[in-house]
Amino acid sequence: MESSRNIKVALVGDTQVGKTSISTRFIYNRFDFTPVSTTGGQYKKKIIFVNQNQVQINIWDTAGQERFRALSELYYRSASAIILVYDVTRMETFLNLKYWIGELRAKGDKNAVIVMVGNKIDAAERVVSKAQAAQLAAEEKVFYKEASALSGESVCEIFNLIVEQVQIMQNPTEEVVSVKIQEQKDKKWFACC
Amino acid sequence: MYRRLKNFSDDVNQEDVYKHFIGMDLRDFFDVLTTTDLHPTLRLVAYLRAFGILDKADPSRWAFNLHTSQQNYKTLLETQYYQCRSVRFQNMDPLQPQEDGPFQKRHRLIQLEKQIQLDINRLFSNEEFFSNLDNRANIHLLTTLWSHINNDIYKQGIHEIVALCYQLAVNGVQANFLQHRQDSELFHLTHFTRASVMHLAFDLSTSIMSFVYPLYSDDQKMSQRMNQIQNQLLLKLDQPLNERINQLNLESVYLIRWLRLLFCREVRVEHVPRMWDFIVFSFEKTGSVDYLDYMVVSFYQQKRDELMRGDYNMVMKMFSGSLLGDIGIEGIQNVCLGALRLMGVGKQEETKTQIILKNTQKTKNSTINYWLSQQIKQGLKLNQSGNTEEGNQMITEVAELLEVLVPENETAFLDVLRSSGYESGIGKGRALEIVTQCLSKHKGWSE
Repeated sequence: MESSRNIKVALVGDTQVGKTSISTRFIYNRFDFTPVSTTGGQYKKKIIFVNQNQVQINIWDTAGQERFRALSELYYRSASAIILVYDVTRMETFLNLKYWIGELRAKGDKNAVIVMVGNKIDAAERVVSKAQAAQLAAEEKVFYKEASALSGESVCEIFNLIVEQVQIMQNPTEEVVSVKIQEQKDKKWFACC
Repeated sequence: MYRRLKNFSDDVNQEDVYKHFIGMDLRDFFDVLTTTDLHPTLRLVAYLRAFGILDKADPSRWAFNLHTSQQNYKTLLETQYYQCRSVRFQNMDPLQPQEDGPFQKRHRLIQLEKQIQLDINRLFSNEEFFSNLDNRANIHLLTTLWSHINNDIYKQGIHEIVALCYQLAVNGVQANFLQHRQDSELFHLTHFTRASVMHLAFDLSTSIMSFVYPLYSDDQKMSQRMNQIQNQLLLKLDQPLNERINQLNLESVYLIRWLRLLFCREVRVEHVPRMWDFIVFSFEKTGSVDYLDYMVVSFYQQKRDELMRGDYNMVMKMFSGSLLGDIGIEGIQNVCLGALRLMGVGKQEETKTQIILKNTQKTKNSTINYWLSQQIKQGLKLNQSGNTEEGNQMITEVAELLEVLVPENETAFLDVLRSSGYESGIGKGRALEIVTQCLSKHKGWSE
């Protein structure tokens, strides 16, 4: 696993749940209204400061359809954290989470921090409730967040959580610095950093 | 000829140039894909011929080939898609768990359609052509049909291959230059209409996918292939670059996109057909996807400076975007030619014209003329002794060579004809008649 100065994060989940949009929102603080489907993998990075120390977050964005496939090892290998995304407006993407978690546990780093993220909470047609998702997260012993890549809401919180948890994993005896990647409100949307 | 093919769009005798194009020696015909940025209709014809959708050896069968292709597509669409999608009332339980029952098939097809639609919604959204709703609906149908008849398999990326095949078909049909519909040699072009776009695109997609699908279906092999490219092929062809990539500890994940999509996201969309000319040429030539591996190396070499100087983050950022989105069509051609050279195609398999050109570089014109005159003499002899086809072929080849070797080729040709012993009398008249017949097929020579 990488040191806390350099954190590899893999984004996984079904097709069109918003994996690329979450990474784009976090890295560039924008929402791309004309995205293309991810084929293979994409790499992005962002440098943040935690207690005046520089931390580089390397994000590997994967293709949703690569579920259960041998190539997925390339993405999960040595990832410190995995963001498992589903779409709160599409029940099947939530139901598939169990398979994803099984896959991650089988092929990913055993110590990797897994954060389950319900995306598109800005949408009116929500079908997956918070209670359902929280219950699954508790059963599977993974972290759980809800966010909107469109509005930017809570996107930074996901990465706050990851940086904190990776610190705990890597330095269990040391005092953990609380991480706050700030959310700033601009005219339209929340914004990271 | 190459010059006229290059300027085909502006040529006043397009039909004649086309006739000569399709009458070229097969090797020269496919070589054109690497030397010339073809007119969309010619490109479409070349692709269809390369994949055997049009009879490779016999253009006179092309109208029949296209008719058959259309009928097959109609039948497939009716029996495999419409009938499957609209299940009529049947005396059976729709919930019965039969794998191959009509309701289960319909359910699988609808799920497949939904899955494909998610990707079609995001297909080259910045391109006007692909944002058009009719085009999207057609691409969706073609992708669904292809996937459905292949056991409902679908992987992200297949829709982009289909989309680009569809665009090639639309452009080829829209640019159809046919004027003389009664001309038997051109009759097949009457099939290049709006009504033919779907079956042409479908056949093209199916042919390309037959080469590319193993890159989608077998992940283990795909992984091995990626490793082989980075660690064996690159080492063999460019050791310093291989060492640098190992030093940077680069993940090869981006190669999945490069290979599966035939590099279509790595260049501007309008340059994809030119790049695919080389890929189709290599498929036809080798019957394999090996050329793609050399394309990867050539892509690396195009960005050699950045790779050698940049750090991990800079390099990964470069690879995550459109790698050659900033270079023009000339640059793309050079990358593709570079890959051909790396593969050794250019070295080993020069065209007959190229070989002769090379051999005559320091030869006097009079010597060339003498050699050509002997060729034409032999051609005429063959013709007169009953080997019409062989003789005429020989004469046409002389004409082609002259076009390349001598700028004022028409005058030079008559000189050659004179020096071959047909300068006067009945012999000359007969020789001229035969030669004229041959050359009437050859664009650039008036009867």
